[in-house]
Amino acid sequence: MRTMKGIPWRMSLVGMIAGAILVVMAPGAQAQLTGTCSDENNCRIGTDRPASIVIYPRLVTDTSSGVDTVVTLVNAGERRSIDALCFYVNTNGHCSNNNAICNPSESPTGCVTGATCVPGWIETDFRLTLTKRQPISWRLSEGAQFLPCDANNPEPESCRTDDQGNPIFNSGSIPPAPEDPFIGELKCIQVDEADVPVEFNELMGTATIVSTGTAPGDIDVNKTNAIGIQAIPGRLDENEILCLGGEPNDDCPNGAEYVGCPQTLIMDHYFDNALVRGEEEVTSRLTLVPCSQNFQNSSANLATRTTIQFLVYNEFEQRFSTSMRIACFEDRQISDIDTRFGDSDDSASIFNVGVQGTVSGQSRIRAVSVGDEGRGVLGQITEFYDCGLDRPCTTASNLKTQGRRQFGDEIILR
Amino acid sequence: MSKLTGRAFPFGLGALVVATVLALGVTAQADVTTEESGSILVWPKVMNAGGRDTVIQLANTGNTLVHAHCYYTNAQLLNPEAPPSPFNPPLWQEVDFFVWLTRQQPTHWTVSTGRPFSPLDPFGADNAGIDPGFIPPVPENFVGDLVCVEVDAEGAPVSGNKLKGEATLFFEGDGDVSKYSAIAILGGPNAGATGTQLQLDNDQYNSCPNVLMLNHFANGAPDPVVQALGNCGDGNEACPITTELTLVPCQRDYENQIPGTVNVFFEIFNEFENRFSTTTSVTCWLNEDLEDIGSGNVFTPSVLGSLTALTRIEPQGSSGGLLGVAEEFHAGPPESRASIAAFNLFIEGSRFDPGAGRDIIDRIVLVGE
Repeated sequence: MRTMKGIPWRMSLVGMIAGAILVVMAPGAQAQLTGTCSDENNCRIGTDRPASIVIYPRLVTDTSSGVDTVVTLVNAGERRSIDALCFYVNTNGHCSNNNAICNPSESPTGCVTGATCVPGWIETDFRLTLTKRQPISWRLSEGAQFLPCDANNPEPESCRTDDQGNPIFNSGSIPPAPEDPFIGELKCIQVDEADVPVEFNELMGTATIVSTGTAPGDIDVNKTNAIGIQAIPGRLDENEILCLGGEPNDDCPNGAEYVGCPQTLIMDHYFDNALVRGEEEVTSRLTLVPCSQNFQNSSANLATRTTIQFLVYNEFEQRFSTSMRIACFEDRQISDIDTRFGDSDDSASIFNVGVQGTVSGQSRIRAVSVGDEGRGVLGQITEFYDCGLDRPCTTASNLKTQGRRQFGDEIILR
Repeated sequence: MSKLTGRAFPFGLGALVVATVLALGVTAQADVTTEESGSILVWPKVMNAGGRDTVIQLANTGNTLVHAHCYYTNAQLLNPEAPPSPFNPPLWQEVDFFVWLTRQQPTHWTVSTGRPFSPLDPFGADNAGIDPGFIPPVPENFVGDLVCVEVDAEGAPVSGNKLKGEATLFFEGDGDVSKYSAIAILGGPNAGATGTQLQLDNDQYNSCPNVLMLNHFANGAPDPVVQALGNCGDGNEACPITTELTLVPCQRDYENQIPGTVNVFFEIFNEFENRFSTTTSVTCWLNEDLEDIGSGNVFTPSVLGSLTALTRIEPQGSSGGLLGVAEEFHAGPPESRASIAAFNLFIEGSRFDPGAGRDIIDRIVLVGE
């Protein structure tokens, strides 16, 4: 065996040491240490893995009707504490004459004759810290004035200490939903202490919508995981514009900082008024929220309307299509997508068993880009079953995804 | 400057190059997903028992004909009346069938009745549509899972990644409904290279996750919404929320009727960052209330001390991977009906990840000809 001496031997040693450093420090290796992704090929948007942005597309509360949502937010990571900047988006409409809450997508809207239902998009933001692996939960109608490990929490509880023996605290508080009744979304973004977005992909969450009444056993519940958008390590430029997919441009000099929104959403569903198992009649409600949002200029969100194209397939492989335009939030029964709001003409909808003739269908949902704006959407489906009770039995599930959009979306923070 | 000669310089350069490649390209994030279509679909919880029935939805997301080879696994106990034990193991009886789906075609069937092949189903009837093949019913008291593998016209596994699905669980009578998404395992370029022995190695098919994460309420904690807005009776014993966890091993041998076995470690964190743990073993199929898992009281409010918890579910040692779903039961006052919500688990890492020191390959062995 040749003895290695002098500079060549030192070169090889340097090479090995440098290589070892690279293995440890490179984003891919870092990703292995924290269980996150390494590049845009394996970073994901979905409801089954921790992410840097989590979106709860449909949160509702109406305490007078016994409806509320239990929201959970979790730090899935093993770092000491993380910060989250969250935004409630209140999409209630309000009547032009008396400011009563109404739904601009429905007809009648709930406003007295002569008044119009003015669409709304109002954000309420809050921030909090979460400790290592910590879950927290709150009722949407109540919020949480004190987090579990808040030093000011009047309820005495034990929280862990860090490696130096210092007690670990939460900070921040969670406001209740800004209105009751409320319908809208919640978006939480992982940030650092200065509210600068970070790439660590450690947030995940769930939303449990509970409907209850005064009769014993009058309960209905459905549950969904929050949609997570993973950050791509090494791409964040630490400004207030979060770039979801897309190529480099003036707003996004690094190109995609987070995974882009999907090109197509796929909704596996039952057609409205179909009898599943020949017994339970079912209807479905589709909720869509835009990927792009502007928290600096609220009115911009209402002004932007996106065209959504639907391709609907039944079990005969027959294909139908329709479209609709949405603004900042859409929550609509699927039979009302291509017909007037209400039951009267639902049987003529291509989302109805009366037209399709089969129980189940597959709908492909595509948001149409405008210029170089992505205009992507995300969403979920809620099913309502006639299960023989006064109240329908509901389920909620997330939509499937396919492909990535050519152009990016942007979330603009304050 | 010395002339760089001999093996030392290339050796050092080679080490640098190899390390760079390793650093940039290794991350193994398991691509099992509930969002995208895949080449293997797993429905972990399928029931025709205890007053519950299941409707399976399966769809082709591609523009060409797709074939699938599907396997029901009956995990009913040898003696359903007795508790599980080494003398009362799960049956692990498989029944397989083929389906084919045309371009973008969705289909569905109820497991208790299957779906016969009939072109005469009337417009709007439950089985109206192009029948995907003859789908057999499952027997009474069936509990277990369903796995569908994308194959070609000759039955050989292929990687088209065109399958997706859901399961809707119904209670008979005035019961509730719950729904979850089937878990899709993406196929790689070499899917089927070893014939009927499918390897989940991030090459043929993506591997199972290293950790499952369950975000849940403390088992038995009162429902805060029903307590505040509904009818909860008296005391904090009413309106409990309980969680039923279903886990199935990724590894399975249908040819030799050998189920997978996984030793599982549960790490539970409450809202105060306190940590608890327990263990169990999963053979073939586990479907248990959290309180019945390991030293189950670790999931209860009296031990956890908080409303919600995060549970990390990790296969131990050289055990293969796991997949699973959970169902939450929200009950009113005693003796009243419960409402149920099903949901998918979160995932982390990859069971096959040589860069992280894990080289565990799960194998699914299909029935040969």
